[in-house]
Amino acid sequence: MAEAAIPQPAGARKSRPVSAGWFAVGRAPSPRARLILGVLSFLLPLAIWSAVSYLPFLWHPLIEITDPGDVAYFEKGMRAPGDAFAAEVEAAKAGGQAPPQGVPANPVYLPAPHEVAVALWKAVFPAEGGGTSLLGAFWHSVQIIFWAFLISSAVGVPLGVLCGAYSSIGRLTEPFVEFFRYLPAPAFGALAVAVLGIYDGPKIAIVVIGTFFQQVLIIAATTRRVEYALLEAAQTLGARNLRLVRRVVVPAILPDLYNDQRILLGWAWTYLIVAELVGTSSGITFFITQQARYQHFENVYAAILILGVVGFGSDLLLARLGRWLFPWKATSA
Amino acid sequence: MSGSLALPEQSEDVRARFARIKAREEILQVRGLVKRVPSGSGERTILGGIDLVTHRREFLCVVGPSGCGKSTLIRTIAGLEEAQGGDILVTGRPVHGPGPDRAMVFQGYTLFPWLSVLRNVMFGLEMAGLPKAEADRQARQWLTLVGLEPYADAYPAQLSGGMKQRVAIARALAIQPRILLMDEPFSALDARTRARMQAYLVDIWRKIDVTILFITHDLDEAVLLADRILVLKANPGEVVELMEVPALRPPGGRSLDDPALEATLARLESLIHAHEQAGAEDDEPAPPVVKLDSVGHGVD
Ligand SMILES: Nc1ncnc2c1ncn2[C@@H]1O[C@H](COP(=O)(O)OP(=O)(O)O)[C@@H](O)[C@H]1O
Ligand SMILES: [Mg+2]
Repeated sequence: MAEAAIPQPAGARKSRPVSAGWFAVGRAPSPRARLILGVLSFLLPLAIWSAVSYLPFLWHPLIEITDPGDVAYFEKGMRAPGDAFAAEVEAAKAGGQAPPQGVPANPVYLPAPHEVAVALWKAVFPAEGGGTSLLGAFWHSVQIIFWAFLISSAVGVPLGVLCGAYSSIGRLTEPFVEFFRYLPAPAFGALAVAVLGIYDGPKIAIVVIGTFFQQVLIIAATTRRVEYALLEAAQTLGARNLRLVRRVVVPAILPDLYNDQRILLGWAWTYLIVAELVGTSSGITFFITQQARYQHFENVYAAILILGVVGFGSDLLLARLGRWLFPWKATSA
Repeated sequence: MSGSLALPEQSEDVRARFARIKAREEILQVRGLVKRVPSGSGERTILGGIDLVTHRREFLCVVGPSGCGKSTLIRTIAGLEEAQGGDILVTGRPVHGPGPDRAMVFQGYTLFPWLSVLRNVMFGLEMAGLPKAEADRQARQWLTLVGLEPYADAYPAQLSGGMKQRVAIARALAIQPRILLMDEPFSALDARTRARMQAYLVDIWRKIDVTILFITHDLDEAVLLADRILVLKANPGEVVELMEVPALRPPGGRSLDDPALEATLARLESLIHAHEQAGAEDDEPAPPVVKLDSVGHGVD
């Protein structure tokens, strides 16, 4: 926009590449192009999935039996390998028996988009008394994450800020934290169950262990990046010690700290999946493993999709919220 | 060594003015200030014994080649760095760390980006324990003084460079320091804005009771602003001369056309040039110069 004001030499316009549209290296596409590309990045995988699901000549290595004929071990609805099916057809014809009938099918672990869509619909609007509730399981997971992240942040954020602000506290804390960070959180599963029982306690503990130590280090590093000139200016204006931390360090790093928290929240979700297998399985992980055991893979995909949509959506939302919370940051960009 | 470029005799009025200034109390006293930093296996002396006195309501500029320790000097006076020797007294009290008797305006923009212009100016007042309403009232007065009352609710990022430095000046003055320390505050601004800011600053300084210690590497700026100019040399930083600018302050501000200022400028240049050649540390190759008289005729 500002470029328009700069008078350009006569030759400048000609030297611009003609096809500077969507495929110019290193150049940001226009907002419209960005939107289209963004939508396409979702539509393309969906199109591939649909093609593999609905075009019988793409992949479809199995035959779904519609009529077993006289083959003893075939049942209606079962999926047989293509070559086995062909052999049975040959054998039946040769023996004068009724040949089995079938249609090309994909393995059961790859449901078609519409099956997953139906499962999603049923999950969001469950029929009265209809089976295990996906949303209920999901809600349980959200609660685990909420409490774990709250507990971790309540200690981790202030400690991280103090470690960053006071190098003596940092030196005292960070070596141990650094060491602990390398201990895999799931390894504490048995211990957590022994101490905290078999219900939500150990699950929350594992997400906390997985999040907390990273949190301290990341937030300490962010705190150290505070502009030193601002601290000096504040000191010449009479700010000291904790007031300097509270009135200058914290507000100065707040936007970065907020972004750190967004990233850490994403990590907390990845620890959730392990945590939920500890003690009595629960939440979205329990739902997924159970549905997979019954081969209801459309429900598995529905659950994974909900995880993705909620994770991606909440991150977008938090990014928006960040821009609204820190207007002074946005205006300087 | 620079005898050929002596300053012109001070006029009666100028002499009388310096006599009045020197009769006032001493606000800042720096005695034998030594600053050393570790360097390799040994130590490097950055400031090798600086002596300096400023009087109440005086405008003192410090000039010197880049790297001679100007920033170190002012930061030490501000209490942001420790000295290895010597004393710094402000109104007779020794300096240990930053204090409300000294305020600083930095070269870079150091406004708090998360605070509005008004809240930036209120910052020091709140730190001093003023109730919010009173801090608000006083901050608005200082903003009015620098002509930025209409921008009270803007964020620093929305202001131009010159406006930011005006807010920084208001923020520093709001704590009512005895001495205002300024480290090349206008050097990041374009020439036109800088000239305007110089006029603003002199204007403000005349209205209130504050002493200014102003660092610059721009000799024109020093000559236009200062009552006296402290000339430093590098390696180690030492005082070459404390020069009295032999000019008054006419209502429209000083002009570089004033012969007295021209002479001062010439003397400053010769002093700094002499010492730059003596202790050349980071000498850049001089740009080629075309002498005007070798061209033959002027442009007209
Ligand atoms: N803390 C420090 N450690 C090492 N060297 C320093 C330190 N502070 C300043 N210096 C050096 O001291 C010299 C003077 O610096 P400075 O006061 O910034 O000069 P000026 O402001 O006159 O350009 C420079 O050569 C700089 O590299
Ligand atoms: Mg400097």
